[in-house]
Amino acid sequence: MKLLVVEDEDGLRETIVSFLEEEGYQCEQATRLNVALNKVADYEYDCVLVDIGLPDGSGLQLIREIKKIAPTTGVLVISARNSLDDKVAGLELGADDYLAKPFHLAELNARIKSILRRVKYDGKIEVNIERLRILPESRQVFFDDEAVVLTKKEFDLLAFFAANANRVLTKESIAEHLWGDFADAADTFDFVYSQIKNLRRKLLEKTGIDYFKNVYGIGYMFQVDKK
Amino acid sequence: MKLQTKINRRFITLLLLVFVVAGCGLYFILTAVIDFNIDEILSNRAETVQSSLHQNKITLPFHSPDQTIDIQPSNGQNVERQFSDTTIYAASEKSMVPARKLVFPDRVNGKTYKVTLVLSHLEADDFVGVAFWFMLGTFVLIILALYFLNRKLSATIWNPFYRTLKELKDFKVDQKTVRELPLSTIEEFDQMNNVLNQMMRKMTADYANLKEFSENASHEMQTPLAVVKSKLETLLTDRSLSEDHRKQVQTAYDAASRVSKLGQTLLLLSKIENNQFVEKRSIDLSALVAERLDELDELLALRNIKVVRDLQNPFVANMNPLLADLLVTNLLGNAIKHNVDGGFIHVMSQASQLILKNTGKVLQGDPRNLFSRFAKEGITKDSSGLGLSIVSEICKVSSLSIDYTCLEGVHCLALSSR
Repeated sequence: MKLLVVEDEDGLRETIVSFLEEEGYQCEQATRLNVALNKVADYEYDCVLVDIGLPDGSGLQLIREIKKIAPTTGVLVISARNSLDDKVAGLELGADDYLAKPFHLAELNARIKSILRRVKYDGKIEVNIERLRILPESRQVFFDDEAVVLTKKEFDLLAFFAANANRVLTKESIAEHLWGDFADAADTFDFVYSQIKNLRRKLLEKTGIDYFKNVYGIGYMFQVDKK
Repeated sequence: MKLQTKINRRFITLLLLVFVVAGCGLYFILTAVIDFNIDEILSNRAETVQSSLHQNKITLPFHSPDQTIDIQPSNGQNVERQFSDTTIYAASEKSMVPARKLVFPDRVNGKTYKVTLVLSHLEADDFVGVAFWFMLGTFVLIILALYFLNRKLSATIWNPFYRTLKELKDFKVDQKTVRELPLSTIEEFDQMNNVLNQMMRKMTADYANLKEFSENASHEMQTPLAVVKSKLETLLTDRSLSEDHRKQVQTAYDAASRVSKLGQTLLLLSKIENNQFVEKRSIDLSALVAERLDELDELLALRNIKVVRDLQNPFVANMNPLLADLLVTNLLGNAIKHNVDGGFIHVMSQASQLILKNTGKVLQGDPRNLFSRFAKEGITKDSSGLGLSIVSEICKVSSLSIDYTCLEGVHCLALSSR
């Protein structure tokens, strides 16, 4: 999978790129709109991460260009402008998702995976982790061929962890993924804890495998054997 | 009291004083002139009487029936020529009227007589009376003229002033363009309008600058914060990190998260204040509350908070859908965050209002500060103190009003249409 990261802030771009490379993506970078425009004209990418506020123009122009040249390329807008206008404009131009800065890298990872599933496989692909099969579209989980019944939030949680397997997820990023606007409105950390406890128990009962590892003081990790 | 009324009162008081003084003056002058004239007439008469006496045309002693001429022997009395005031019976008035008297001695045929001539003031008094009524009439006329002048003044001359006043009343510092106050034909008003125009332009410009600055600051903050947060997050999930270091990174990470949330919330607040959420449609807030409560089901169960719903009668508001969502999110978030384990949330809706009651700790501070920014109860790490000020700002721009009451540990927020 080949990605293009268009972001002018060096520190952020470097972190994103090194994170995504660790995830196994092939990453290219661009700091300016002109460079990015040339790159999308010359090469084909599976997904492009676009910052709206670039030094030599608006990322919206890039989105327009990408959707003209290669409509099947996924576009994820990352913008410091947490404004409705940018979000609406970006999505109207054909961007697949929108992420406001600052964001959790785990969230970025999950969003990219979801975009890639959507644009490349029409969302029909299933996520396989060892003997677990997760069907994002129908929101079902199977262990071998046996269905695991999960609540809506438990499914979201499992999907998020599956997208970030073998990576420590902070409580904050989990809470924000599950609750969005409510994340800071309510005492969500306790909730994260109890949800994970339930999910862990359900999976343990069905599979006999304890996937979750509690990383003290930080969060949790979904542990699977790397193939 | 109106300025014109105040001026008029002073003016009328002064006018009254002037009229009284002038009236008194006129009275004294008139009476002096009249006395002088009467005295002259009396002197003339005296000469006639004297010549008549010397020609022996009058039989002495003489007393005229109308008492105007009286000639009596002096009987050795020393008589000196002198004028004085007296009274006389006037047949026409049937009463005693003021009169002027001239007494002088005269020798007729070697005998001294005391001659008394009297002339009534009657006609002269009428003269003074006419003068008095004339002055009074003039005074009333001036007051009448003043009244009509004022009416005309407030209709025309004060018009620019009232127009300026109206513009100032409508003036809002956050409006984009300043409506220039129109110039009039009156120098004072023009001076005032010029100063006000300058002031308003400066105020709106300053306000816009300040707002832009705070918006840019909160906005520009997000990118570096994104760098800080992502670096810290990477560090945090690095398994080679020692426990001690991890704790320190965690603290820094938490602090960065708070700053970032604060910036976003402040930015949101300024956007609401700026009326950047223009699109409005009618939204069933009761349904929205029910929907959000469903989503929060698990969270509520975890804290053992009981929810009572009376949402059969929908409360509908005409507002921005995104703001409606934010409003409900913040209200419910607040009701959960400040609730006690095992407490309750009671939502009631009617056509006229939406009431949200919840158990919670008793408020320590002033309830009036509840909606102001950074009003926090005690020390809560995960509370920005901005939730209810977002609620109040949303209400402001959505023609809603919100009232808070607290009774025995039950907090009640009532939302109603304005």
